[in-house]
Amino acid sequence: MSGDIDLHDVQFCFEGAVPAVIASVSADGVPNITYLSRVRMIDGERVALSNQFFSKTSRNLAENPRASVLVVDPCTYDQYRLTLVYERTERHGPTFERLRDDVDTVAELHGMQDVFCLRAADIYRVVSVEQTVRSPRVPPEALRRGPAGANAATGGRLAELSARLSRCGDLDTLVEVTVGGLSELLGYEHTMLLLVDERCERLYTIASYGYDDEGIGSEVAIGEGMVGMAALRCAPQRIGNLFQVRKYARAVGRAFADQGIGPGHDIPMPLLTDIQSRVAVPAMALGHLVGVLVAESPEPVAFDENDEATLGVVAALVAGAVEGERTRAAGAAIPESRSAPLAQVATGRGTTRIRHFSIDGSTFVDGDYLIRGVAGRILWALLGQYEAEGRVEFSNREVRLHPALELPEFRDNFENRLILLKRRLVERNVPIRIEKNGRGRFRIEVTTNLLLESSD
Amino acid sequence: MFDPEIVTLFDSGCSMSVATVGPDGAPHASRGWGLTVLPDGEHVRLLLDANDSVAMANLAGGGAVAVTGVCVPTLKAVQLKGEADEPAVTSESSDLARATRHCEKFFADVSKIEGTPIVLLERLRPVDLAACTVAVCEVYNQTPGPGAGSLLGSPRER
Repeated sequence: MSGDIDLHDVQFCFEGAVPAVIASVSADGVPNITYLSRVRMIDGERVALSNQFFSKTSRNLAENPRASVLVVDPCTYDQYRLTLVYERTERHGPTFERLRDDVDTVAELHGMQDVFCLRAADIYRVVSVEQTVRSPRVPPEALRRGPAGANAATGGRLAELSARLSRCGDLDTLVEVTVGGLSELLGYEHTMLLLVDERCERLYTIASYGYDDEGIGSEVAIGEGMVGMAALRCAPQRIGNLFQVRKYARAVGRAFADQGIGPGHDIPMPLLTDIQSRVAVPAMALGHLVGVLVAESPEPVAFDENDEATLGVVAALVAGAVEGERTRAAGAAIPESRSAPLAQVATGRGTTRIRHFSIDGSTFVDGDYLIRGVAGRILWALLGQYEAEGRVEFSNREVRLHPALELPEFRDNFENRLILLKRRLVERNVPIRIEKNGRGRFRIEVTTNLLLESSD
Repeated sequence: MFDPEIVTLFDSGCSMSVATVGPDGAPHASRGWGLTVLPDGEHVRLLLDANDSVAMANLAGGGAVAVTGVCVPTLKAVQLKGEADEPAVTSESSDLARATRHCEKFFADVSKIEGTPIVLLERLRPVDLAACTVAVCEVYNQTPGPGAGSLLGSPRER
């Protein structure tokens, strides 16, 4: 590659925050120029372009294998011109997979997975990199930050977070320390931790940090959207240009609609309304997917490979702890409940109406949705015993055997669901609390009169 | 004549890119900084960065050119293809005003929609301008999607 600029020096240009432009020329000398959704850097000498629509460019390159590409650094707005020579087309392999992830992300935003897909990844050798804009007029403070990247301090902070996690005595504390520590120690201001459900079909949010609405209990199907794809592929997913992706997805969706192909469903977007960057890393232990750790930022290109690595370490620690807790809970010989304390009669504290749908465990408090699934069934079972017998103390072991919970025998996730329920009750300010009062034991505190309604 | 929608697009401060061809057939990508449809409805006046020496050389004595304009909010896009005459550095007030208007609209749209500080976008603004006239032969749909690349027509046929 000629010139002084190394491809690695311009790597931020390939995050897609500013659309690239590609020029090609046909055999008879007619130029063509079009915008690209994404250019991916493969190594220090090659880039890959996704090929799903630009058929004229493809035809030109078959005749005349040279291309000129303009890319812009989203942090500095330095512009570079790459001179490329077409090398080959790939239809499988890691480069194809990464580009397919990009295209899938666009497609999933408008439910176009069936019609908008990557056909091939075109690989080009970079002959030269030339900077076309370098204005001295911009003060350094105006330049965007870009990924902070790992540095010497990262290791120490990661070690501190690891130490804090290792001191957590229960899952509830663990998830709280995880998202809090990611902010305090590592600077990730918006994070979510999701765990896999009992059937390994969905992820549910058990903890979050830095959002107006915590979103505890919100769910995403495995394979759906970036977070779901991180779970499905057990591999990190990262994007730094969600504004562009959404805009591109809308444009493509309209184009398909114009041809009579209706758009599909919109995948609910994340909790940050102005998110530009997201990284989702799988949390795995002993070869099993336990959950997904997500970080988001309103800044473009906020994350890079170092963030994937750092978050990957934290995710692995959390996954190990969750699995450890699950194993411990499943094997612990917890004695049946002692003479369980009875509740004080709640008088003069107002009435809270709890409505439960047994078909899917959906539970509403005074008409507002609270939670569904196993967590909803747990709450219903606890409140039923509270109302019938006045009980407030329970053991995990006895509750997990309650037939209404319909827990699978293997990997039942009971503790995770109990923590999810506990956090959801706090988030929604429901006058019912769950507090741990010993290993494998907990108590409920009800500061309201209850009106329980079941809809079968 | 050009479709009024195309005239509006190029007048709206769209993101504009330009391809020229070297004597060896090599493509060269650059940016356009203003495009005005001339009264005959078949030609346009195109503003380029005068310091882009390769583009200037490629069009010396005239040459093939492609210009794509993309509406920043919607990504609706068209591509014009034709033959340009030799560009010349311009300091005509109408050209300077045209480029200024283009930059202001383009930068404002990008800043509004993507949150990019104007001060960063200003880094793209060319210091010197060159102008050329392009005889437009064909117009293509370039909006991302299955219809991208379809021929919309020729100004001379309309």
